[in-house]
Amino acid sequence: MKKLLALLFSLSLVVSFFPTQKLVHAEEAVELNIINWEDYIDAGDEEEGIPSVIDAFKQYYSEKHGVEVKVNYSTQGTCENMYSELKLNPNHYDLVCPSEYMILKMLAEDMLEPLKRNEQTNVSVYDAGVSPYIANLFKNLSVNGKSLYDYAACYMWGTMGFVYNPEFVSEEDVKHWSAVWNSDYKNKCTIKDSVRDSYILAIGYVYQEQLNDLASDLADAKQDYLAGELTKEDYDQAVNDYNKAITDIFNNVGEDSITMVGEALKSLNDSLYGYEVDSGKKDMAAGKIWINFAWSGDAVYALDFAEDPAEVGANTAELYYAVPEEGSNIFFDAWVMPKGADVELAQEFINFIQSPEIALRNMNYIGYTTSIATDEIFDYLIGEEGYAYGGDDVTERDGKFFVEMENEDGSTEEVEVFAVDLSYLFGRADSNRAYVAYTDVLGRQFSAQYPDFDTVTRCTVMRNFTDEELERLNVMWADSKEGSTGTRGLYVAILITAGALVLALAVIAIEKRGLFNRHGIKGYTVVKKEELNR
Amino acid sequence: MRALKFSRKHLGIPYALFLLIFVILPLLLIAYYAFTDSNGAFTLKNFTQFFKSPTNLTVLVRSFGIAFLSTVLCLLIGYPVAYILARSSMKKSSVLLLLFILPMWINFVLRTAAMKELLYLLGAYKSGDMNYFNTIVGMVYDYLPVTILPLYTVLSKLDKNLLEASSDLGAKPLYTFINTTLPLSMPGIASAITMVFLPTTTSYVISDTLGNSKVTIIGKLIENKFNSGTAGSWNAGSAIALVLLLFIFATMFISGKFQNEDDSSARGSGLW
Repeated sequence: MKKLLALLFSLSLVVSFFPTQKLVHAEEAVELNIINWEDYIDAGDEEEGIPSVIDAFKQYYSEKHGVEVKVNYSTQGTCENMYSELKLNPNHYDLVCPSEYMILKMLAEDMLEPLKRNEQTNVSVYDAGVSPYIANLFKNLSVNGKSLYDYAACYMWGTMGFVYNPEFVSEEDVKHWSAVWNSDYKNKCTIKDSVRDSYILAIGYVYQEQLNDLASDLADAKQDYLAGELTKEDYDQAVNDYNKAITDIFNNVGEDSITMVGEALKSLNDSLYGYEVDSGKKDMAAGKIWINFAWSGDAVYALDFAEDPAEVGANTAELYYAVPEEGSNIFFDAWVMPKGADVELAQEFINFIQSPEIALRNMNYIGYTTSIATDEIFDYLIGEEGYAYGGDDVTERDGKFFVEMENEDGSTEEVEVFAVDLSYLFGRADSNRAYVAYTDVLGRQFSAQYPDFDTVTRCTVMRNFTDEELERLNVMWADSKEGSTGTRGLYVAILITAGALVLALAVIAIEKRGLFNRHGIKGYTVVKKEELNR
Repeated sequence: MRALKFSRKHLGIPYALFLLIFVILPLLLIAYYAFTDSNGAFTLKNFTQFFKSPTNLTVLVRSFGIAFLSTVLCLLIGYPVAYILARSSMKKSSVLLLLFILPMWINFVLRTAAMKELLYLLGAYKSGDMNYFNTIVGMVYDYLPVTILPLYTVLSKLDKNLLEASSDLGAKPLYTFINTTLPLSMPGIASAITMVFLPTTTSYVISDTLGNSKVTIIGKLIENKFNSGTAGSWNAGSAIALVLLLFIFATMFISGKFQNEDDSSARGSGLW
């Protein structure tokens, strides 16, 4: 009996330890599984008590639905890794943020859920905020009749170009991809250690004549259009044709192109400082390199970093960003829902982080450009210190921009400013809020984040290459990196090692025979083992 | 019913499990991937493709070349240090040993990045053609502690009577060293080689950082294959990993043979 009582008692103890309350709770809780790029969302600021975007979403969700949401946020370094993660764990993830070419691949393999745009569950906040330019572009990108617009909510976008240090590099040189091949900048340039990106640079160099001809044709068309000799429709057509033509060139992975690119890259092997995917930003700031082939978001980071005394001390540098005139790459990272995702929850998250306020936070944190183009964002751009002069007052004369500035005595004065027409992005061609003007110089952070229409026109989307094409590219890339003749260091190392090795072995060989040991202790002679046995 | 009796053998169970799950199973998976294509059908294509490419073979030779140079330099620098440490008084040697082992406690990537800054200050990146040299310097720097440790262990446990006997019989210190100390420390040399040669063929963090990604070694090749995003990328990558494994087995077998001739009864000599 005593035993039974003891047993009952201990059982009751065990039961009381069970967190019954929590179990019920856990059943109600929903889970959101996300894969994003590394450092690709505002992490908040603990010291200032600003919660991360993820925490803010949790709070928002629990307040709205009265249910806790558990966010399993993970990151990957490449689109390819995101893809294989999805393949390894089907039906697990709710949201992934790959680049456009990978989304096209996923669409082709039927891996994605479409965005639901009906009344109960929708992405209304995203739809209301997204730039018409991006929405339109997404509608035109499709595979098997499925357009990107129906499956992906664009998160961030950017371009590729050169970050350069104007102290050492002339502005004219970085207007062309050939800057990297320029012997003046030997051992001072880096390109990306990834074939998909560096292929763009090499194509821009290999096909520079064709690309420059196309660009100058378009420039002529623009002149005619501005002079009133060309209708708007004709000019738009010219822009479209131009973009199509350069898209074909940049996406050309035929045998000839690959061979030429391979040769061009091989010739770089000796003159480059190196290949990188991450270290270029800080190498620029440290002055180790002068030209860095970079993504615009990284460029913004590099520019900020190099001019911040808190980061680099007294050696601040004013870096610039330029997109070469031959044309470049424009890329989009977008949220997609893999098959089996919790669509409602995923879309709630999309709506949350694509609200203008959160989008701004993310943009400021990451450095890439948000896809959201609402009045709030526009106001932020014109209100921010440095670009403080609102679009309302910008007047354009002969391609130059002026604003009315108020002097201290109350009189007004017309001052020339740098301005960029963002009507293509914000969809406000008709309103007087088309321009963002700023007194800072062109080519800095703002230009990197918000390129003008001419820049965007000469940027193309790279398509998703087939496995066979990718294989060819990879082989070309591996071969091109083997062209190096800069092996002086190798010879030095071999000489040192061989010298030391020979010396050591010689000493050992000599001493084995005891050549230096003939006269050891007086009165004794060293005798070989064999002789002793005799 | 026989009672389940605990014996000393059972203490090995945790490690056996560990071995099975984290060593044997992954190896089998690598072998499976290496011999199949993206659809899971048996193929030898992954291997033929690897050996058909001159670039891949260059990379393979280069990796072993760099590993060989690094290993030799590690031994040449590490052996005298270990010898001095083992000879010096107990109190001094433990402090000295600590100084040599200390770098191992700092994160590997951080150490490599710091090494790059140092080499940059010394002007090793001025000409742009010292990438191989810098890579090897980095390898030696990173793997020197692992060379010293096994050498020190063997040398400090060396029977001092043998050395005294040698000296008594009229051998000068150098003669004693080469005919007594060196042969007896062979097991330490063998394990130092194992611990340096293996990782230096694949430590592409060092070659990427210090060689500015201009020096491709086999580890990088495997990584590139896995990240290439094509359907058969894992299979091709696994095949290279397997080839590398076989080459390393061969190298270790040879180094083991080499050492057995000198002294087969020494501790640790049966490792390979």
